Amino acid sequence: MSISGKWEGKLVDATGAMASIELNMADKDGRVAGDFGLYFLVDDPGCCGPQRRLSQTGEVRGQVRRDGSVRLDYKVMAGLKPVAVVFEGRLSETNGHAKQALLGCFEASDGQDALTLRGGGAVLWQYAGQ
Amino acid sequence: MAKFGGEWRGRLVDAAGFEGTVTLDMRGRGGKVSGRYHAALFTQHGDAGRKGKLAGRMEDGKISLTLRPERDNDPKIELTGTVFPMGKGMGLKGIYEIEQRKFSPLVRGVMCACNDWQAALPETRIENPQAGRRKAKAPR
Repeated sequence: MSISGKWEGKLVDATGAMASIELNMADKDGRVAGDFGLYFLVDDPGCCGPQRRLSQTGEVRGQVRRDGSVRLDYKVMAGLKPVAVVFEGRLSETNGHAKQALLGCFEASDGQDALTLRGGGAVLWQYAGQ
Repeated sequence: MAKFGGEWRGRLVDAAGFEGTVTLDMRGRGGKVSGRYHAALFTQHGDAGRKGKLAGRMEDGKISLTLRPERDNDPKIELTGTVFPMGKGMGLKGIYEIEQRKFSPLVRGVMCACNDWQAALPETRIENPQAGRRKAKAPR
């Protein structure tokens, strides 16, 4: 069970915020390392749909377990202070949409009040050839 | 104590690639949760609506809900998640499963919502999808 490769997906937060996420990950012996980019999606009343605004980039570490559950740890900046965020999810089938999906919920361990995102979920997809 | 009851609005994203908005009208008493739901699913063929009753339990910040559709051929949705204080109300995040996958484009996904719109971001507030569908009064 591997999650190595490129992933892209959507994050939804209890505040109503939406973001797109890109992840590049490699795993070995259950350990995961990689990097992520988080882009807030802001509705544009024009013709071009939601606009992407780069919000955060950083490193991600974690583990993938034999039962398909995945934990990812990363840090986001709230001002000048890093805030640790934990994503707990699992691999899923996608009904043909992608090769596999990773879905779960995230939570900031400390300093959550300073974040735009307060807690929510994310679905990441790995498409064929990625 | 944060307010639990009332209208919750939020979003869902499904592993099958679909997205939508949800409205949960919930009340809680003695750990039991009941109410109604409305989900608007964005598809290539337009918005598909789902609505019905919801029931479940909430204890120690954990919540489990069963969303039962009004129409027999719509799938039942099981949501397992957590609730947490957010502003003067609460936020919700969780993973849902589709019980009868046969009749649904959905597989499983994530759902989140909140019931305090002062705490939500102004630019991301989700309007009630049913709010604009009331019949307009005829002019006198």
